[in-house]
Amino acid sequence: MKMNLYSKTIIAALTVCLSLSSSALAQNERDNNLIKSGLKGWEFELKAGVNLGGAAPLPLPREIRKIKSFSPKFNGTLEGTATYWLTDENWGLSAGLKLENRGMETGAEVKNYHTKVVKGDQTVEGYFTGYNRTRYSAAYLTLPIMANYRLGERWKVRAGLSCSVLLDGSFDGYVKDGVLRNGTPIGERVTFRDDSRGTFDFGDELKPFQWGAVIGGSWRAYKHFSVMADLNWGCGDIFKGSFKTISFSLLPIFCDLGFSYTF
Amino acid sequence: MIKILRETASIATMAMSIAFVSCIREEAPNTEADILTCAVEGIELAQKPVITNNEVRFYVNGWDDRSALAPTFSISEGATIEPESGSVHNFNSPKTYTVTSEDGKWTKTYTVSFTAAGAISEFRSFSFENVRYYNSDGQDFFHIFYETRDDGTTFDWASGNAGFMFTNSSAPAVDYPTAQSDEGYSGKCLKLVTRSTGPLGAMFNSPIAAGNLFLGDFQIDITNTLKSTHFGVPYTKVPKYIAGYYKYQPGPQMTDIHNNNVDGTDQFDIYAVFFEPTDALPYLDGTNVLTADNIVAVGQMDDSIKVADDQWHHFYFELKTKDGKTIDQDKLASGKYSLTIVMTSSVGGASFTGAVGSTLCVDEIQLYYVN
Repeated sequence: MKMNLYSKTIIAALTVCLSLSSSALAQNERDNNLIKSGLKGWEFELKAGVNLGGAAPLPLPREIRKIKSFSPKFNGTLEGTATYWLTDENWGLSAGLKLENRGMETGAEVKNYHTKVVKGDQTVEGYFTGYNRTRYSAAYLTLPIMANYRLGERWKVRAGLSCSVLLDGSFDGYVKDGVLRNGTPIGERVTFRDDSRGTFDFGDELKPFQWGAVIGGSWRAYKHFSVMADLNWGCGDIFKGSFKTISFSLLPIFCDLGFSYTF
Repeated sequence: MIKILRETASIATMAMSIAFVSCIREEAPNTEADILTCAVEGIELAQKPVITNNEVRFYVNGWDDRSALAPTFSISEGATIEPESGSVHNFNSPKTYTVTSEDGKWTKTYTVSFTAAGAISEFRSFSFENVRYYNSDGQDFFHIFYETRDDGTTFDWASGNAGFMFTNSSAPAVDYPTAQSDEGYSGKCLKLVTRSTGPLGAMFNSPIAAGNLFLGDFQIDITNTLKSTHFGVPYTKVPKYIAGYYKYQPGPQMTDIHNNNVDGTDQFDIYAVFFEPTDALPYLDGTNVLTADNIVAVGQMDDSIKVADDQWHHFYFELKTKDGKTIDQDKLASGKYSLTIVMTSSVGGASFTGAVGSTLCVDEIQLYYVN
């Protein structure tokens, strides 16, 4: 799997961010206090993490007989968040800008799995029983808007909505070691064995916008450092509505685990 | 810190895998409705039965009684067959069996026949006047050439059209590599054209499809396409000469399996192979049709007499017995030998070398044999 440009950017940015924040730790605390008082109620954070999850059908369709392998891959996230805390309240409103990768790689034994491979104006359609490998990797620019609630000194929980814009994405894979029935389950048998594969690429069918519901929380470990987790539950298929090849919807469900540095 | 992330990641992966596994739902009932194997007792089979997607063919001796036979079938898991496997029927003419899938949603009909092994040996000539359509799910796709015997029963020529259909299902029948044409030497004729299979065909490493027609069966094998062509039908005479008329025009540009242009001019091929099927080699295929050890005689049109223009030309060639091969008369009479006649618009078509547009028309084939 080739690593796309965005993955590289995110990983590079992550590294920079982590090293910056370590040196920032050593900074004079007084400076920060000055900034803090100057901003009144505003809180700025820089977050870095990994997205774990996948684009999954819920519930799993009966066509999927066995998950042979699943890799969430190392999907970097980088986010800047601004929170405005209401005066003398524990409530705050936050908005962020997040550059994130979402991806996964799965291998599954499928039975009677409907697939249609389109290339140019040609199609191969049929029912496949055998091994199916799917790779999904996409970079999104996400805007989360959330309500925040402080629980004491260390805990912070939040919930809200997000809108993601697809920057670049691929969704491809292949079928092998099995039989494709051409057209219908009683159509001509097309056998795939040894190393012959039927490849597919649905990258162009990924939806350009993706809404999601987010819940998350942070725990402040040090004065400036927190660990955080945000679960982003995608609303609807990762594919465009016009895409019917995969007969079930794939919901993007990703949990962003990472650290945040509070200025 | 990266290490912690990695550890968290692997724990999360495990958790998710467990979650997925626990979500696997009950397996759906089977949708397939296939006859997988067949057998029959009380009658000697001349050769191994042939099972295709909608036909079961037993080859027997012409003199055997076929009025009360009880073939048995194994079918897809959970499927049912009507009439029942093992029930007794009169097979003087073919009988239709219906297989219904376990989920009850799919039914497929099979024509089950007990064909006299010598039945094809009746034919002295082939004029390519008769075609019917390959039909799937109520839709017509491509031409199937067939011949009718004196008793009204028919036999089909095989072609690679089913392979072309896989990637180019929307093509009209006349745009398939193998089709009938009105412009015959006499009446209608066979027209073989080397076709491009488009980007999808290229993806399966089959960028072109040469037109072909042969005696045998075709069953798609994506892994080794040469094995898709099963050559040979039982033949109870000794073929000696094949003659007929052809017209050939090569396509403009030769290409190879990677769809790259290569030098050269395309050439057609017409040949016949007479062989003795064995348990290990019940039929020949594209990997061994001219080289297998069990070949008894081969005849092939010589390149030196092939003409490429827009006129009909007469051709003939002799089937020459291979050194050290003899023919056992008893085996011959009981259908233990097989014959195939193969025609293709690109000689390298089986390995996907050829020129798109190469067109071979064939008509009025005569088959001369000795008893």
